[in-house]
Amino acid sequence: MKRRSFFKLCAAALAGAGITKLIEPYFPAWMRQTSAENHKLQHEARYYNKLDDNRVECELCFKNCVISEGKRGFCRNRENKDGTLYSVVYGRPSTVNVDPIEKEPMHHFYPDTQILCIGTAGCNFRCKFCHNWHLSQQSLEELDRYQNLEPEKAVREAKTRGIPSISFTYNEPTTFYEYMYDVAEIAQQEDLNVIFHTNGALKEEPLRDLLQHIDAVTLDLKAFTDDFYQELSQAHLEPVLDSIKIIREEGAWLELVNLVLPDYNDDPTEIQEMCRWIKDEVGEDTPLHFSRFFPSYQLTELSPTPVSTLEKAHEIARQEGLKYVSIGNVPGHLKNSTFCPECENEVIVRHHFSVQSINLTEGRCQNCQTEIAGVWHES
Amino acid sequence: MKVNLIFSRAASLKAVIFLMGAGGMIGQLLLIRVLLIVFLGNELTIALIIASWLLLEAAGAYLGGKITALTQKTAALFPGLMTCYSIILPLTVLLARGLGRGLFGLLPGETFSLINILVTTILTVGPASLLHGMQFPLASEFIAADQIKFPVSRVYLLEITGTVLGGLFFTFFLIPRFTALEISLALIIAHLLPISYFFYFHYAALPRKAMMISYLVLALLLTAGFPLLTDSLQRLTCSWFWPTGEVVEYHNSPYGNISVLEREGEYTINYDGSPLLSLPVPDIARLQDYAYLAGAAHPKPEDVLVIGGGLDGLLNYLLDHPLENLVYAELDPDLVEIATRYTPPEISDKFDDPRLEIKARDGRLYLSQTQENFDLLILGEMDIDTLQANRFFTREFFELASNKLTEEGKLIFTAPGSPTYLGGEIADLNSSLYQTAADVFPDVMMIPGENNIFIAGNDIELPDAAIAATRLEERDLLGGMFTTSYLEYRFDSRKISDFTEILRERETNINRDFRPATFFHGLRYWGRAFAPEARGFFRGVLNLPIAVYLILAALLLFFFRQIFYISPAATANRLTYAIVGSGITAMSFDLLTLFAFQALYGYIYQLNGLFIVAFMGGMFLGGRFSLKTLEKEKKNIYSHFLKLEAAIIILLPLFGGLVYFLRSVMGFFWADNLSLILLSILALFAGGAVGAQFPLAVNIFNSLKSTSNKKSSTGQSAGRFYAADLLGGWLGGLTVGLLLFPLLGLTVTLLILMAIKLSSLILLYFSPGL
Repeated sequence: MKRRSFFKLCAAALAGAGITKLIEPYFPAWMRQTSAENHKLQHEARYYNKLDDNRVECELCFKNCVISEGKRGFCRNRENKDGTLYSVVYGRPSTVNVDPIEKEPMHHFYPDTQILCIGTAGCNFRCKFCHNWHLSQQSLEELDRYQNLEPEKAVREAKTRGIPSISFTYNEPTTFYEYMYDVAEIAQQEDLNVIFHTNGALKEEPLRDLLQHIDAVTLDLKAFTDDFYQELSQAHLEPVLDSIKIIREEGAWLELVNLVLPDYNDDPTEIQEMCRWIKDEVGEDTPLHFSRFFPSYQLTELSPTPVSTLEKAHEIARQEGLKYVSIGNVPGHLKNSTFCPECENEVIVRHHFSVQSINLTEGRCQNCQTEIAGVWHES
Repeated sequence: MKVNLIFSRAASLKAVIFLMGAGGMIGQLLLIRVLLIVFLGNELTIALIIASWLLLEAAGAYLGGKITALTQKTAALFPGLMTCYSIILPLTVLLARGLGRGLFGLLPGETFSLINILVTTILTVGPASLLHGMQFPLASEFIAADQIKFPVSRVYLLEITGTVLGGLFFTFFLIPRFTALEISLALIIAHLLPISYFFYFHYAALPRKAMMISYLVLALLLTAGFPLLTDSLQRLTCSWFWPTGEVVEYHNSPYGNISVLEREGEYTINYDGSPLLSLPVPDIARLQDYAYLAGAAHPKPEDVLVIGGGLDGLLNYLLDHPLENLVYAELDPDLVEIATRYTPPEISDKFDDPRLEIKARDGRLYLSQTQENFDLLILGEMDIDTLQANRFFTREFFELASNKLTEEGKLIFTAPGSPTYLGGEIADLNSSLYQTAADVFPDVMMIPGENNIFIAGNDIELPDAAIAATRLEERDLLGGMFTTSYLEYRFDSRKISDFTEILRERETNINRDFRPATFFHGLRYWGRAFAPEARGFFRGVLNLPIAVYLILAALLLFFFRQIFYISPAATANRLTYAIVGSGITAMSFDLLTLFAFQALYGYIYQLNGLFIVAFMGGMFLGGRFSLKTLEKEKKNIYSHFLKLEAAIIILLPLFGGLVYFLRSVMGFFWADNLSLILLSILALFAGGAVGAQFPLAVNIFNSLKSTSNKKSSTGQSAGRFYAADLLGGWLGGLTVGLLLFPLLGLTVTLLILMAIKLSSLILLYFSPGL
């Protein structure tokens, strides 16, 4: 190639690139060059150890991520900057909503009231059936939407709107632990109830510390085999069981949710073992919700759970001695309501998230006066 | 004489070449159907499958050409390749159904990610298309060996004939009657018989007998064991694919595949592999919520039209309202029949409600032709990442709907959503829908949920919690799940206003029939769940430093300069580029006709096959015309080629004009038939222009070779142009179908195609030595 031709070629290339740059502003938004958002990391994370080479080891959940300089943990929310671990999402919730408390589900704690729900990006599990995957399976940058809401403001929001409880939910609150902790501490001082909906993977120390400011917990006991946890969630069962015991010990109100997936965790023996464990370890008063699966996220080819499977699970749980068992995600199903374990009277008549009537007086069945476990309020 | 026509060496060769075309088309269509169910596919996956097929077939053709240059033993290779191709098809079907769990360890019910789809497509489609591509140059070599003039062009014509008839036979006869395994096993028998006949004329006595006997015995064995083999393999593969239930029904309708899974006495009806209906207990929370909120959007709904997605319980819940007429338009009558059969009497009894009228036809066409006006026009839940569904969310459809609504009428539809969050791809998708609706209707609102519900109307009053509660109470429907607090939760004014602000502010395009922006965002949303790695890749590419773009641009220019100016084969390369361009145009033309017709008249989706036949028929006639021209005159071939280039350039804007004209007359009497006829005629001409180029290009190339004293086999030139044609098809399929058309729309896409063809015309016009 002649030198002149080469220069001509380079000039043409330069011109082409220049034109591309000139017209770039007219490209649709998704095509435009976006510089990676540089979020200010202001809030240092808790529960981690500093290692050599500026690495850190996160001690918050069972994953124990060892995070190199400039990297983030498995949850996408904790970043190592110059050997210090920061919470990326502190004060940056991606969603703040008002929901009925029944949606958690939370049936025995302030029924028929509202909760101020707070969620961020990220999760320390990778559940293939997650129905909140839009939030949980993305990082803050990928979500491209969050608000700045300091803990005080979050509490004020609930107070102003007359909402009695704040709930940390939607994605796994473990991944925004520091923010949750600070909001919970202030909320407690302001006489608000604090709830969190968790997968139960926090380590003992942070969990016990947090529970000092928590009134109630909804915990997803996704299955009773470690295989399920590994295959479908990239997690383990054992830490979850430990968390359940700790929550009970610390005295927070606890309700368990089991999403029943056909062929994965619907084996009657497994359900029986799970119920037996719940009764033995945390007591027969612990409400257990069997929830119906519908195709979601990456399990879109799996059929919905047959209602008869849920009914069988309900029967097993009752036979094993659990007092408060319900069926969720099947609006209109009788077992969606809460029944008195003694006289079988419908003490809370529920239709999906809607409470029709509460037949309790000071926490007792209006029919037989049996005390119904839970945290009740004057309706 | 008659006997010679059928039992002759030439006839046997023609028979197998015809079979090569027919078998190729049937195999390709078959694998698309199979993989579409495996992947729960949309147009993206169809384009990937076709693109992979074309690319690997092109590689096969190139390889076949090289083989003919290396060996003379094509007599053994050609029938061997055909046999292998036919045998590999049923294996491919098995592989496609088993690979997900076998290779990737996918869990039951888990959807393929984009990477899984790509690998599976290459592994399944790859061997079949490679083997098929290799056959073309070998067949050309065979004909050349018999001293027949213009061997490549003759093979090309025969193959096209087989392709056209094979495609028709598959679409109208095979698929409604037989399973993929039955078709693929029958195809082996269909290959064994003509090939053994081919052996009779082309092999020496000893191997001939042995080969013929072994082929006939194999055909006999397969025929005898056919029912047992297909049945057991079908059961086996269904259990691989749906391990969580027993398949009690498996049916191919003209529009898709319907399967019914039974588990614990309850049924899931899948459409194209994806769960559609759950019986006897549907997804009540979603359906009743949708039906009641939709019903509450109107003060007194009397006449209601529901388009698609109503069989799962939506119709039942709508009938809870005191309606007078409920018309339900469902494209696939087989789905209605099967769903009714598996619906328990307490639900199916409602199908006998005198207020309900089920119309087995396309909803958009029904709406354009009916004289009725509706108080509510409700779209059932649809997969928004398909073009087939996109036509119900375009500005043109919304305009049509607006004209068919009564004064207080409302159009109501759903889109994938989240009750908690609106950002990223899901925000783009919903914004595109919102802004398109707002472009037509004065009032649009969105109720956030697992599925966002859009309500659009021409009047001022949109429902809020209080209005909805009053209306439901008047109809005695307040109660159960629908309490006032539930309605307040669903109509949370603060959330609705926050989300609406996002929808309004987001920068997006209006979704149009011929610029389907929502379809594109639907694909991006699908990719968010199943190809998260792709997002990072694209962002990474877009964030490359400018120096990288500079280097790439320089390399591209350098590359073009080398092949079109510097290379000793510059003229041949320009000719090949013209064929690549024609391949791109041909594939684009096919796709654009399909998309346009689908947008206008999705109800005769099946008849899209007619355009492909018209186009391929045009290619056949064009090729035949060129062959006759070549036989008559030796001169002016090059000028004919240039005229054809110009003809293609002229046909492209003609196509655009015709499509816009047809849309303007849509809804008029006989407009659908007029569209069919006019588009078919245009397809015939476009196919003719492209098809006529191939023989001329081969002839010009051969004359170039003779002047340059370079020798190469007939198979090599066949391989070169066949590969170029397919490569163009691959490029056209990927770029036009998935990027240019959805992003830039029909007009700009046609302009780009014209620019490509204009560039090849200019390059050829100024070619030295021609």
